[in-house]
Amino acid sequence: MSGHPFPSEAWTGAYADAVNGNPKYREAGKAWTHGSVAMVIAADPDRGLNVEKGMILDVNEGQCRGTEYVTGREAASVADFVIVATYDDWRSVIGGEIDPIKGMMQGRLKLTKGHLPTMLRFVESSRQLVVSASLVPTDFSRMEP
Amino acid sequence: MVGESDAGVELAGNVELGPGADQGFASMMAELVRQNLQDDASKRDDFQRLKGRVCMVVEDAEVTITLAFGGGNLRVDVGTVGTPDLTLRATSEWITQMSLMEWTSVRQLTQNSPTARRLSRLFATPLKTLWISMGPIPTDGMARRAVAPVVRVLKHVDHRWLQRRFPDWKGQTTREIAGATREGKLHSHFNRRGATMVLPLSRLLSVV
Repeated sequence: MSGHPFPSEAWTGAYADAVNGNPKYREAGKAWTHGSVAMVIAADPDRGLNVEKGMILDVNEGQCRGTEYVTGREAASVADFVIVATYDDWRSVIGGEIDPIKGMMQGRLKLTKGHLPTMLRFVESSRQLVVSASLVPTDFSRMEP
Repeated sequence: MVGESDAGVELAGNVELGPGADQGFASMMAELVRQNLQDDASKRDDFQRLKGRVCMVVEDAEVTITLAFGGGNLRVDVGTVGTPDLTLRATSEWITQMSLMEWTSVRQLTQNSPTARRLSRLFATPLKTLWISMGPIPTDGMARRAVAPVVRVLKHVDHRWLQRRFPDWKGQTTREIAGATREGKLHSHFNRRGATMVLPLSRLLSVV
């Protein structure tokens, strides 16, 4: 399968394009002015992920204004909302196998930073971010070191 | 106050997590209550009044938690602990939707002219009945005119009962939840104490 390695800088950039190309996200996220969101992949040495990797989306009013691919939890913590999960769980979320809110209820996704009531208020916006992620051509067999 | 003990992890003053409840839905609920109490003083009244056990079952996530309220304290445990006064059972989607229900208050209703007129009509009916028993037969217009000043005064009265929120049945999410309840997608079972918990609990967990 050809696609961007996950996680990688290229995947993060393509994700921004997918978010901006999703009209349902534009609608659901129209009122979002609460800051950036970081998707953090927990370190997993068995998989070659020795440190956490983070993809920060600068989302505002239904638009993704930019992205940043970072290494380490501290670097990802500059985002206003930080969601941490294992590589396998992110893969399941991106693949549409688990709903992000259900994943949080099961403890597979953890909101480690950010205001939970705000996150819940924008539940449809979170779902549309996941839908956008599923549209990014992804190669799960490779990851950027 | 933050600290750990065999009994669990104390989150902040009066919200405590039972063993193993520091992640997933249990931790989400504790965090939601904690942040809502910080953000909204009116939720503190509801929190103080809540007394009893609420069991929440998220069917698709296969998660059950128990919220034990009492004396301005909350303990969140994984699984069913004790005998619940109120049990809510639904999928993660409906459980989340419950926090998104729209709310209104008598005060809000009086701020809205068409609704204020409707309230006048509502109050006018019992007044008309009383009036008939006392003498001349009034017209609907007379009764409405007599009640209108009362509704106008309500706009300016600052009493907590007028500000207390209740579900706004015109709201889309509120209607969807009512529909889901009718269709059996959202089950609730309660005893007498549980019945009194439904409204304050819904207000406490609301994020709207």
